[in-house]
Amino acid sequence: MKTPKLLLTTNVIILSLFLMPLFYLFWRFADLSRNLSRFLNSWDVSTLLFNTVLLFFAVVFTSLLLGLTISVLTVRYKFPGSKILFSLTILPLVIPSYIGALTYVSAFSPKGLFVEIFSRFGLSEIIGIEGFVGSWIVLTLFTYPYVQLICSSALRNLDSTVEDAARSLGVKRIKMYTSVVIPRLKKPMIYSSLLVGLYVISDFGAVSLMKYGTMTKAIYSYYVININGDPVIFYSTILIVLALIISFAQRGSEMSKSAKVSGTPREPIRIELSRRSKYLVLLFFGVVIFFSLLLPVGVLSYWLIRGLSNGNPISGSLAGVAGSLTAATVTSFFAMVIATPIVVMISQYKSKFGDLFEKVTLTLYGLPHIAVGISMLFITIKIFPSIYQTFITLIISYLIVFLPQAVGGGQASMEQVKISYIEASAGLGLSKLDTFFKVTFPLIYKGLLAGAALVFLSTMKELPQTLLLRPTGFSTMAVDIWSYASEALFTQAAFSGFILLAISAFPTYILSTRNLDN
Amino acid sequence: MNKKLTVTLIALMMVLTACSPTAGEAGPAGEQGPAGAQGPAGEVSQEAIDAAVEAALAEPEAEVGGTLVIYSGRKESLVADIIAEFAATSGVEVEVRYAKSPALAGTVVLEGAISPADVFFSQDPVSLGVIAKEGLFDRLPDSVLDNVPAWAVDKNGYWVGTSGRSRSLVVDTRDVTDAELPGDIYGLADEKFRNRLGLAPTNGSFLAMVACMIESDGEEKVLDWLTTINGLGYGEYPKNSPQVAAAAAGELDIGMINHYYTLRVLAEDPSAPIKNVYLDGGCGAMVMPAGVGILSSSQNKPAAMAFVEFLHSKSAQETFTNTVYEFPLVAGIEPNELLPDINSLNSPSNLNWSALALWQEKAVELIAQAGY
Repeated sequence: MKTPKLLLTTNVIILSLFLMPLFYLFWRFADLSRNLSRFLNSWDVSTLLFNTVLLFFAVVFTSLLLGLTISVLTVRYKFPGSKILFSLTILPLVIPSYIGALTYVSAFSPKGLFVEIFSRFGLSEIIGIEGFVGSWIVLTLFTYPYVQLICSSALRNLDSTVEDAARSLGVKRIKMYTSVVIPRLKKPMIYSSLLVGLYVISDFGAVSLMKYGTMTKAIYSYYVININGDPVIFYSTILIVLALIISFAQRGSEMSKSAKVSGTPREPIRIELSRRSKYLVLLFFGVVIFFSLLLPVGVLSYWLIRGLSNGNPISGSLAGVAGSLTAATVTSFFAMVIATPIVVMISQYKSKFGDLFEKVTLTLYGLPHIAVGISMLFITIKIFPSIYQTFITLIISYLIVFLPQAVGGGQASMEQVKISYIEASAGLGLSKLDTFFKVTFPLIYKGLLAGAALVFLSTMKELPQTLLLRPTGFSTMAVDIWSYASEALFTQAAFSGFILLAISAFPTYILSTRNLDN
Repeated sequence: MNKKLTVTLIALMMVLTACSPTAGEAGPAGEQGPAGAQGPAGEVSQEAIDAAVEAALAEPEAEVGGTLVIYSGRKESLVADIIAEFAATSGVEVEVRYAKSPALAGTVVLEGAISPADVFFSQDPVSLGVIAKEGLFDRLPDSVLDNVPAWAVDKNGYWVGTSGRSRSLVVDTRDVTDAELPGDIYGLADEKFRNRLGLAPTNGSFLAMVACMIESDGEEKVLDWLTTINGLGYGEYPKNSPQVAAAAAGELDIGMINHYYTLRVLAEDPSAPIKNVYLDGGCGAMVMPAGVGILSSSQNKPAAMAFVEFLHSKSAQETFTNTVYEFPLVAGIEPNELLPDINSLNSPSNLNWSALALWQEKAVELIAQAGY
């Protein structure tokens, strides 16, 4: 079917607008590149790149290891409480990296909470967790659930007869996983590595709190202290290129052959564990849940209770709660509105252009927020001063990076809209617009809503763009946590952190496990 | 396709820029602050200032009102109360954007004529100088400039000091003896301070100190110092206050800070095992004004002027010294008892704040070059 002109034009305009930050950065970079040698000499680009890439590989590796182990254990083995343990290990997904890092930095500072608790056993000082190791630990603990979600659902759908055959041939357990199971999970593994990897290189909160010098931390430091903005543009462009390379590398490897899931997947036999193994597995889950969930929530509780009992006020944090909710509601609404024509164009009118469009939209997802924020800051000052420091700019900036989530939600439900429905509707004489409202929309609105809910949650947690672009006097929970923590006002930080976690925990959990049941 | 796209984009830009408030209307011309502010030049007593402020605030003809946008490089926890008091007494609706002073200065320069800010309230003189250098401040009337000593005023009258702060070292008294401390900041680049130092490389006052060092000692010596300190291993902090907390907690021996953070902690807990050490001379002993300036692009200059004057009022000056532990700058205000005598501090004399602003960018570059 030919894509209607109106639809095409609308989408092209929207997407061109959304790509402006990218174009603007490249344009400014081209301008700067005349002085490239000066930049390369005076600023430590290679160290920052090395640090960023090192963290990328380290976190992707450990997240895969952790996520896969949990997936395999919960999908293929029987042990008491496996369902609830699976759920609990997904929950760290709702903890933004900056809250995680904040609690870790405080708990494990040389004379922090950990030492305080164990001081009665003679412990007086520990080596604090920070820098590379700190960032590595924290980012792993709050990103492995992505691997777990994607790989466990793939593993569930994976025909287990090959494994059964391998087992009956006497292949050892470990060998079976490395040579039979893992190779067939290549695609979900690559996909989840992409998610984790993009999260890592875009992460700003954790590395800043851990004082680990990556690209994002450099961008913010230069934003804070530099006058002309050149290094900020310079580093933002490099970071965006890095993100694009990762996105494209993933797409390239996706095209390459990956073992086909053949045959009808059947409910695999879940293997009973020996008593000793059961204890080991439970211990493993205990450790993971303690460090990724109980510890951060525990530290927040401790701060809040201690602060409240000391009479510290928390009323100042309420404006941030209202700000977050407003921003998230408006963003998710517009994300849904803007995503709808894009979803229809990509899924209903399949065309080469639509494919390209889909790829470009997905690319937006990987863009590091801080770089988009920097670019929007410059664009609004230099080109659109009328919307500088306005709510509109903030919302547009959120939409740029979160739109793909809304599109994804819509696309998933578009599968229910059969082309024959549309043809029948056209045969009955309905216009394209009528067809959309009477046939397509009723079938896809639930998917769109789910997408919008994801956008809502992401917006509520967003930090770097909000820091850069918020209107004067406007605050969100994320910004509050950030600024309270930097002034060591932990009671207030903990209060905002708690509300943020409480609001996001349930919906995140529902949304992320929703797909697993079917 | 491409052509269409370009045309659409250009059309969109035009629509958006056409909506700009700066494009159409110009700010109220000619109005240079409230009439009451133009007090007699020369000897100005605190009473006269207070009277002027009161008159400016009370007099309905002063036309103080509307909305005032303040870019505050001073922390919310330090100045929110003062600003709230101004809003309450003047009836001006105040919007404050808090961020670090250098970042706000950079933002104002980037914004230029479209800046939404009316006043810039900075924690350090260098950030003020950056804006003054770009010609983005209005010249302040002598009646305001004369309120404070000459060292705390911009030579060209583009900004005025509001309170004073000294560079100092916070030391953990359990681990540091007076005898091992050097007389000037260069003495910290010593093997005996390996892994014992702390600093906040993005802090405005630290940058100001480095700019001062470049101005008086030259780039090479400063780079050498920065590189040596980096090589010794240092604790990196986002700002000054956590250094004081770290020193009190025993995590840090010596932090390079501004004096009042230590005093705040000591005021709450006199037994905290920390103290301020004021260096004998050089840029490490620099006393800087925090200050304020009115942007030329301001749409509400009467309110901006009222705010500047309010910061010199008895009430604001007393808050600065008694809750923030800074040096009051207006004559007749008693400094808080925790403060040393400002005349006993050996700040380099005749510091030219505008010259330091010129070195700000170089300071940033050297800090980066030294690997921070």
